[in-house]
Amino acid sequence: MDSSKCPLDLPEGTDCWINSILDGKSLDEISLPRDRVSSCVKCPYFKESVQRSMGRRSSDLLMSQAVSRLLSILSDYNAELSGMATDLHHKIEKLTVLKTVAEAFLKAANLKDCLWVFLTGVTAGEAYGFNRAAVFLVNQPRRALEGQLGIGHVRLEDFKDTWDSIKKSRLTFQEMIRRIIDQPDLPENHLTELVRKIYIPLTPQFGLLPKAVLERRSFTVPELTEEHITDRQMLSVFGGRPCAIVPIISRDSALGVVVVDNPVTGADISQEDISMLETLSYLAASKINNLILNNQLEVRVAELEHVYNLLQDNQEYLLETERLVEAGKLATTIAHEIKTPLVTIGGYSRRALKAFERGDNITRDLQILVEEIARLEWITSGVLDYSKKRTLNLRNVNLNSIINETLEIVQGKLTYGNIDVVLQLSESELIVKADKDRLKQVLFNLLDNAIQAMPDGGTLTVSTGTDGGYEWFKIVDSGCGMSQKTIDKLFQPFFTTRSSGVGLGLPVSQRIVADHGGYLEVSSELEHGSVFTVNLPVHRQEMKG
Amino acid sequence: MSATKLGRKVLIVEDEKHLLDLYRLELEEEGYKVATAESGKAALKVSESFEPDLVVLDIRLGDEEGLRVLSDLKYQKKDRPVILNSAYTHYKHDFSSWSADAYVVKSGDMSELKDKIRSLLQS
Repeated sequence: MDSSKCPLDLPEGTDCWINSILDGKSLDEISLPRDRVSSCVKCPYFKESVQRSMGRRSSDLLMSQAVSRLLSILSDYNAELSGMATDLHHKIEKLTVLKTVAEAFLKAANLKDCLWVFLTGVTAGEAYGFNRAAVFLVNQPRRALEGQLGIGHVRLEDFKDTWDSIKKSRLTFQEMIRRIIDQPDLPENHLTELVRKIYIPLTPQFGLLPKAVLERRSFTVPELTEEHITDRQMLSVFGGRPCAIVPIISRDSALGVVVVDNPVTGADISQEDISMLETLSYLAASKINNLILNNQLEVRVAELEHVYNLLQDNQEYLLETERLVEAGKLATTIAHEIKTPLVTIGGYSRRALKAFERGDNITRDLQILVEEIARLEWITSGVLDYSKKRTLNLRNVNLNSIINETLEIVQGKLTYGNIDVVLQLSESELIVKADKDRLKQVLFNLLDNAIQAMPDGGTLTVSTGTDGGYEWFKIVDSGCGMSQKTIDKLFQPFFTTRSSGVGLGLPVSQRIVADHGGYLEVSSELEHGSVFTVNLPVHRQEMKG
Repeated sequence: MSATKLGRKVLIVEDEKHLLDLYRLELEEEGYKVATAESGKAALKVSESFEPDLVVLDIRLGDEEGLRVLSDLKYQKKDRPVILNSAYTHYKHDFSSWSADAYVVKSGDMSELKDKIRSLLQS
């Protein structure tokens, strides 16, 4: 083996320096790279050579020189390693800050909290430790940067108290961040007040803030002057000192900028500081973006709610208007219905007066007056029936007997109108819980309509029965029948095909039946007649008043 | 009773029985020959046979719109005056009511109607 060559052959063709020393070469002639030292001390040839040289005076001297050289190399190496360890520790701390901030961003419910977390990360001593920071966000519709939040002070003398109190509180960075998230109201400060007043148009001539957003890059200046920032208030706080401006960039857009400086400590802002700040800004950006979108969404939702409320108000207004129109229609119809008997009463009264003065018989005139007044009463009670809600006086009522009683009332009209009546009443007793008078009113209305539908006479069939939980009675006429158009309007108040009548009979009847928990059905065929069926529930637990 | 009224024939179209009777009685006492009809259809039929000099027509008739009867009556005999008689005032503004010679709002006091009949029959 060639003793001058490195026995481990590291790297290839390297000389073994210990052998070279033993061979009498001076230390200055030997290259001793630092990275080889650790390999050499573990090398078996190195140990063997050291042992071999023991006791040789010339070698001892050389050896002690070599060891001292080795120690000095190792000591340098150690210093460097410890520096690297500090660096690493520092980096780990910054990464921990990032982690804490990232976790806090997840919990931040609103933009204010999010910006507080962000700037606390930027300024906290345990974190990035800038003395002061302010954040500005882009207002897209206004194409401008608007100041949002500042941490730090406007006056330098105010910093000491804050820092002292933070120190005394012994709050860790994590605790500070947790407080921001947990506290409902975050404190306001002068810097924020001032920053909020700042509004910078998003065009490059307004300085580095818009430029950082537009060009998506950071700027550091050794002394901030009006060349860099046009806004006077901004200059009054940050001017005359070194300062850094870092954009807050999310995936697709620049959302704003963060401005930092160190007016109290006067610490330099290094490139490393900037790149860490960029990382933190990037982390903040996606959350800020989400919250901005969320805010916009909330604004839209609020707008929609407003529009919805307006619509609802409008709908209520329309319904009210509709009610008024209905009331107007009612008034017009009532006016007309009342006017005719009033004209008749007026006319006959005058006649009666004249006849009375002449000593003539006025019986006929008075008879008509009585009839017309009765008609007025009938119209009035019809309107009251329709517009007033009455309490139902519920009793067990036999349907068959109600039908017989009501038919008796209209018997005169039936005979006079040449109408045959066919009764098909159920053999078993049909008992319903109902207001007898109201039910009779329904029956009367339906019978009266049937009679009106057969001016030239015909057949009226009245039947009763039970079907699917309902007891029913049916009025069938052989009259003129109705078109679909008429059927569609049948239950609208004031709709009438008759010259006399308010057009309230069917709406009132329908309402009465509904109040009993039942329903009214109609079918008709032109020239063949109509069928009206009243269905009432067999068992009814509770009645509407 | 003036001589001009004697023998002048008036047709009253009104679907309210009592009112119809009232008009008939009042106008007969004024000296007119009066015929009555309770529907538009009947009115056209009666006017053919009765040949009235003037028609008093209710607008809101049961079976037919009075305004349509008005145009039918005018078609029958253009120069014969027709007085629209209604409880409503708003038909005055309806274009189709313009072919009527007069418009009288129904009243228990029949003097306006009587005045209108008299003046229309005189002209």
